[in-house]
Amino acid sequence: MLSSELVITVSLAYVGLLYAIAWWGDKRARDGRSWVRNPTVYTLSIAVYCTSWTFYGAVGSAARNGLEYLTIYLGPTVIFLGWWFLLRKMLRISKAHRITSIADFISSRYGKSTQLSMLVTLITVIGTTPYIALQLKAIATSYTVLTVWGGAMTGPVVNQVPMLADSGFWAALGLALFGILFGTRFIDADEHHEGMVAAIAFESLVKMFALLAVGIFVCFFMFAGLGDLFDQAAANPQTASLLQLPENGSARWMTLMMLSMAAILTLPRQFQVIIVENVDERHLSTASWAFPLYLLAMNLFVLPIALAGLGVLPSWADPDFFVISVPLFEGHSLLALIAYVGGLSASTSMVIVATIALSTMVCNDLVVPALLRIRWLRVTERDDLTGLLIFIRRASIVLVVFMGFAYYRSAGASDALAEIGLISFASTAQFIPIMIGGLYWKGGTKTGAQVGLVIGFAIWAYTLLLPSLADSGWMNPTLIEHGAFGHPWLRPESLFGLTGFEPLTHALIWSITLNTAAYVLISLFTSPSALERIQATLFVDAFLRKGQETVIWRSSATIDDLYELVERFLGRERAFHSFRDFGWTRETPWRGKGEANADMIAFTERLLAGSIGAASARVMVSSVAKGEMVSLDEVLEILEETSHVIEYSQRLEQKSHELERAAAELRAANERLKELDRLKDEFLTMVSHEFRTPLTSIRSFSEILVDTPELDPERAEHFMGIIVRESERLTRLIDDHLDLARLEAGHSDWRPENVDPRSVLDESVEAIKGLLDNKGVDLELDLSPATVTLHVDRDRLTQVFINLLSNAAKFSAARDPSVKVRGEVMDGGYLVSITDNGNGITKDEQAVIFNKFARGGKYPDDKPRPSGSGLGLAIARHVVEHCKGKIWVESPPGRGATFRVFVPAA
Amino acid sequence: MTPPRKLTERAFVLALVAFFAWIPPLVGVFSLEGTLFGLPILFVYFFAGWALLIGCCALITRALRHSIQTEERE
Repeated sequence: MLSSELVITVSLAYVGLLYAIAWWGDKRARDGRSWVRNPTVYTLSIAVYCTSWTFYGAVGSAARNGLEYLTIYLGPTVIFLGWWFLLRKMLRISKAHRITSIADFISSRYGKSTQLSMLVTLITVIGTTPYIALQLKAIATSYTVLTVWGGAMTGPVVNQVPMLADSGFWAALGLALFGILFGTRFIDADEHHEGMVAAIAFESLVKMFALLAVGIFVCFFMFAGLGDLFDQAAANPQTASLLQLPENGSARWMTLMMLSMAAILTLPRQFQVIIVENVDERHLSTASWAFPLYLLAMNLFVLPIALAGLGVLPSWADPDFFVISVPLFEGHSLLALIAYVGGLSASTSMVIVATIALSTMVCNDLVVPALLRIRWLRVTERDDLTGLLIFIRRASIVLVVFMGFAYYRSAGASDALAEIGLISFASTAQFIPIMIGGLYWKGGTKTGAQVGLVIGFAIWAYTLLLPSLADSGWMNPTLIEHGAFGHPWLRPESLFGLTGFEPLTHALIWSITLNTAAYVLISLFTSPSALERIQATLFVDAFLRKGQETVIWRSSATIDDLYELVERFLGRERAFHSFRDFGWTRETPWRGKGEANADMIAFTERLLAGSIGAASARVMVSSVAKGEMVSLDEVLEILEETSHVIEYSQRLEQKSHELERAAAELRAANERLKELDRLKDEFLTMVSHEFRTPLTSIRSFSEILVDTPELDPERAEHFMGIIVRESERLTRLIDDHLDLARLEAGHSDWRPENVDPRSVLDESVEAIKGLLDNKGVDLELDLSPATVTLHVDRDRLTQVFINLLSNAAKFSAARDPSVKVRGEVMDGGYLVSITDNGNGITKDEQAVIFNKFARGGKYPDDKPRPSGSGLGLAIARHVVEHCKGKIWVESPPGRGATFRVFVPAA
Repeated sequence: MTPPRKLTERAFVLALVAFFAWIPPLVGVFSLEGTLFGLPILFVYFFAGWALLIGCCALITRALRHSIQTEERE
């Protein structure tokens, strides 16, 4: 037992030392010779993670649950080992946007939303209060243990002392004062508290050495080394089980791992030291292995101390304070005092950083936005706001510390340290979905984030906070036992019938699942505003961007307007220095009534964001610079991205159209080729057939002539006549064929001239008259008096008419054969109709009659085929079509056939 | 500013290894009776593994920083 005077003196001396270090750190920083800006101090300041919960609580936890306490430190180790992917990104973003707190971070991501920053601040304050209470409780209890232990103490410590005699009250007072002195000395543009960081780093050293000292004492002075200690523990059935994991502990183990991984990212004090107080990104890379190393050192002797305490101390001793009671029990008061100072440093560092972080949040993200909204206060018109800001921060520090004190006095005395801490962890873990989502998913929207967060927090309050309050006797426990409205599905500790998990796991399963689900689903079904989209791009693509963004304000603010605005929030001196530096580096005027350019407005907003948060800074700047804010780069980028996508899809569409077209063309070409191939085969067959017929007769009659020399001359002459005729036919066939081939290939000579169609017809009839007379065909020629002039090859046209006339003569009826020829002017051209009185042409034949070798119609008396080449009509069609005319046949059944030729006038 | 892909992938795998080594079911595998170097097996698993991972992290981080600085100088 130590005298309370001694303990108080040591405590005061220690706190005085802290004040001195903080003051000195601030002074060195102001002189520009900071020793705080190095990776070691940065790492030690992150060690504020190890609070009295670690210092005292970890031993208590180890004494109850064995190695489970390690989860709280393994989670942060995982996060720091993966610093390159998560912490570095958060750091880069926060530097670029001058983020001042976790609320600022989240609200910035979701379009600098004021509602979101208020929500996050409220949740943080509610969640952190029990945690601060925990620290005050630790200070008070450790003081009691140290001063009461021994003869007077036979049972567990119970705090039932008047408030002014409670060491927790004095601790709260001292810490609030420290926060006010070193957290709010001035409103800084970048929120670095070098003095505070110096003090925290020192405290981290003190608590580590204190714990190591106790650990080494336990292992090497009480026992003969670690091995001996573990051997004795293994021999005792009560402690042997602590050396292994408990059965069915997987769910709780997993829960604690997840919670601690979340905590290192979302606890406001961790965000403050890791992100806000960071001055150089390279320090983080050192901390990535140095901070896990610190955690390892802090945890190495936790289990041994717990085992030793369980082994030697009476069973009523509170395991949470083994760190002090074991040395006391062994009679080493000085070591106990060192341990007490270590615990004091662990508690005070947490309270100091947490209150400063929270006061920044309460001021920037809760009070200032609220004041800005109350128009009749006319906050925006006041001259000097630095005093107001500092007052708000100081008031929030006092408020936060004494809320913690109130919680500790009324409720906190009942729970074990670790459990209070876990409830606090679980509340800030609700930020994880919207934080991680916001860092890697551009689709998350403000509405989604707000609803997700409200749902997660509501479930946390219902499933964890309410049962904890009921335990403290603050409310009727029937709600906890029977559920709201007596419905078993609404029992806070087995919500919706989910049983089989301990309360913490149960609460996390529901809160995180529903939180994430609401965030994702609502984000998918709401559309973000322009600012949200811009911020989302800036956050998610933090590493893709180079240089600072240029925010374009379409505004009419003067430089002096902006200057005065900054002066009101940062004070004369800081405003002067900031603007002067800006003006000098950019070589632009920085005072005067001139129009401020976009860079200067953006600079003003960033400057203010560093002291009053992004959301408030936006409101303030827009109160001076009227107009919508457009970040040109970002808008362009978003546009560019969108237009890239559109362009790409259009190109894709175009390509696919082209492909389709090409495929269709290919298919058509293929069809055409197949058709041509078929036609060629057909043509060859026909040609050989057609050529064969005259050749056969020539050959057979020649053979007869050769074989029978005694043939009488009359018959021989007849045969020779046939041979000559057939030769002529063959020649004609070949001529026609060559003619058609030339026509088809377009090689034939055309000698177009102006002709009168009537004269061509007369000429043609004259030429064929012999044939007609020979067959006794009655020709009727009916030519209109009117005529037109055609520009055609006269010979070719004559060829067409002769062909048609000879056909008509051939196919006219055997009895009374007659052919009618009509010529008339029609539709700007000349129409010639040649009609016979034969059997006509069937519909099927009409379709093919103009093809090569097609022969239509029948001889009236079913004589064998006439001696035509079968090419006449094909040639006729080519000629007429070359004259841009038309040739067709009409043949009503049984009334002969009419061939019509229409040639347009020249 | 971008270090070799292989290096960042190593850093990522390091964090993954740490995560999976310290959650069930793997932690349960080492919850055994008996001792290693006179210490409980689970105790050795956690603290030796912890130290090993910290060492790996320090090596990878040094390489990462080196590659960034080399590029900055170029």
